[in-house]
Amino acid sequence: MTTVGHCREGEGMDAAGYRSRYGAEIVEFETLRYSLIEVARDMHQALMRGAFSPVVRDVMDCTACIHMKTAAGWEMVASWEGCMQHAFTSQHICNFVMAEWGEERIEAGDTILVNDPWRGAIHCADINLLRPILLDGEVRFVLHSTSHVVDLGGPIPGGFSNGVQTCFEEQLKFPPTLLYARDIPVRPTFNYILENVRVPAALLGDIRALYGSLVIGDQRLRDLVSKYGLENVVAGGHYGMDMTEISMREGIAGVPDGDYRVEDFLDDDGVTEDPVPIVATVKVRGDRMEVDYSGTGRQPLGNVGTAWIESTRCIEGIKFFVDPSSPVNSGTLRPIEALLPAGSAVCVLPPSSCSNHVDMGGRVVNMMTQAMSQALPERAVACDTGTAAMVTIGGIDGRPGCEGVPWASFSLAGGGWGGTWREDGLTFCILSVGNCRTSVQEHVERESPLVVWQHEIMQDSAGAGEHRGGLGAVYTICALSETTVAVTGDRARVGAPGVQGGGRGMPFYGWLVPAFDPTTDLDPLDLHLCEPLFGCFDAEGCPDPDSGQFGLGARYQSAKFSQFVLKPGQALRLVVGGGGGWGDPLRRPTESVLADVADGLYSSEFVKRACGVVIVDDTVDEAETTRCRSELARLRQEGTWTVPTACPPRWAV
Amino acid sequence: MGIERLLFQRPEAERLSVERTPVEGSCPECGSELIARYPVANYLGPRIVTKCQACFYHLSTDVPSPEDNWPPWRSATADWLPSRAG
Repeated sequence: MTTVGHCREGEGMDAAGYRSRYGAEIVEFETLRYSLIEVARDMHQALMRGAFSPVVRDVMDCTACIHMKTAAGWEMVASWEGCMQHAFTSQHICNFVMAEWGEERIEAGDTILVNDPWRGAIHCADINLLRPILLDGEVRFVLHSTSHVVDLGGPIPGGFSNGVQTCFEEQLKFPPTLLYARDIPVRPTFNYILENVRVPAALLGDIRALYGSLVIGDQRLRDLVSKYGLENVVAGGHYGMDMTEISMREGIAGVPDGDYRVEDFLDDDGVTEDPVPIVATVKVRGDRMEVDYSGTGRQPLGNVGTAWIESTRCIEGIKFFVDPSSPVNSGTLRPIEALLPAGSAVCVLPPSSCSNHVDMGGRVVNMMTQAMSQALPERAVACDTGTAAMVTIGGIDGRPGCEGVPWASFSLAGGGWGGTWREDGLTFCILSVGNCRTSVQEHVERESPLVVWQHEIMQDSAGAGEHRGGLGAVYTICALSETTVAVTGDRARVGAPGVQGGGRGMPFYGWLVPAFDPTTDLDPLDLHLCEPLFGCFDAEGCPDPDSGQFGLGARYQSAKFSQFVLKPGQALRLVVGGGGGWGDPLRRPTESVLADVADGLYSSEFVKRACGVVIVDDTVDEAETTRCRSELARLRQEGTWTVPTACPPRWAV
Repeated sequence: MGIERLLFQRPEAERLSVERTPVEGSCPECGSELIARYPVANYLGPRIVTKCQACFYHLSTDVPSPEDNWPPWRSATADWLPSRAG
């Protein structure tokens, strides 16, 4: 068997070589490699079908993984996402837990619960169940199921504890804890959870679904071992990891050697208004890579830092460039090491709060793509929206027939991805660390005292470019009962940057509509009856990301806040910005711009300002466009014009 | 007592970095004498590596000892005998 962790000899092997290395024919190993992925898929499907909460059932914020014992440690042989970041963080969770647990005391049917960020968990709201699998009397595999849960206690519902400073003010935090002993529920653990959360019915359903997913996986894995033999299944696991590692290393070797430094920031930490600086230097040496976070700011006061997960979550952004298509397993992680400065924003120390991980994760992945864009400028990619624009909501239902029922949910309205060297960015899409779906709005309205009045593409939100960014969303929800809201967002001070001359996407904005009337209040550009909650505004209250002032006239000086109460009849409106543009918008083909306007993605006024394209009577005025573009290019040369940040030019106030 | 690594103060420094400690020796792969030892997170978790800085060849990869303080936090019960429940 090849040396684990440095699989480079596999290149150029023939069938005889594979037989010699792995002990069977390559066809058999391809079958085993994908059979293990099928077991993970089966686990995930069971989880999706069995879960109670909309977070799993509809939003798909859950993942299933299979880890195998190797000479090096516990390595992931297969995963099925769900939420993309889980696939990158699962392996460390498994290793932290198994190193601490006491493998010799494990019995068949034991299931361990953990959600501690200092043991590799993403944040407390993402609970992880691990089921060791004993074969021939020894733990040979560990199955992992994980999902976000809508509430896990603590003073702030929903898990994004914006404004707090310590983990003591957040949700229940479990070090590795026995949840099932030989498939028998451990009552104290269950009681501790169910008696300390706001929605025990949903939690119990979700925990059972996570457990059931593992039981399904246990059965399927044993079936696979019965069919092919343990030795062959293990060899198949090694083969799958080695093949992915070879693919990753081949991609890394195609990146020129060098150090690629990127600096970015989070708007603030929800406690102070100070930006949180993040630095990452991607160092490439042949087919080996390091991500060095040295230079990053110290851990923030608020909850926006993370404890450990940027060590592997960053690899997603690198994988976009070096190996976009291989299944994620340990081979994805083997070639890359991370340096985390202890006490920095990417390695916060206890008892720091770290419940808001989404903005950091999104930013880090963008920083990786920016580093790769430096190394490979011909394949540059602009930044995405840069925020998950997470809304966590809950309360006590007051609807007839539902009186007194506690409820909780969360919502992801979606943003835009950055324009690329090849095409426009994806529109109406969550950050890449998510890969989650938006809620099923019919379910939301049935299960929660809310009406979702609006969830649409936001016009003029995409960064301009030869390839524009993807567009973001406008999302308006109206409360039928008193509803407590937490908004977790970033990129509200400046929009997502473009690349190669592309413009910024629209930043994140939020308003309260105190007396919402759907017959008159559905135009997001009409701000007459709206109170600004956060964003960059001019003196008249219009969004103005280029010349306005963040927080001017707004209730909040941050896009991260909690305990905001929506009274019945009040609406929350969010505008989630778009991705940055790629390339010079003055070079965007006029027929593409015309199509953007015809499709309602851009207004004719914005495309004149940002792309120099003049549209009259639904037709491009080519002569005026040529003149306008020449003029803008001249002004840019003089230094008096830059590509404007995406934003609708006209608002009614 | 084991609880010394459960709670920490926020660092004073505004920016933080990982120190790479130079080590004597030469790289068996490329011959460079730029060798350093430092804490990383590799594919399995926290490790202390000794690597050539020119080519990133690993001269050694070690599981951190308690004295390495990597990661800084450590379970108070890490050295206790495991029970049936962990």
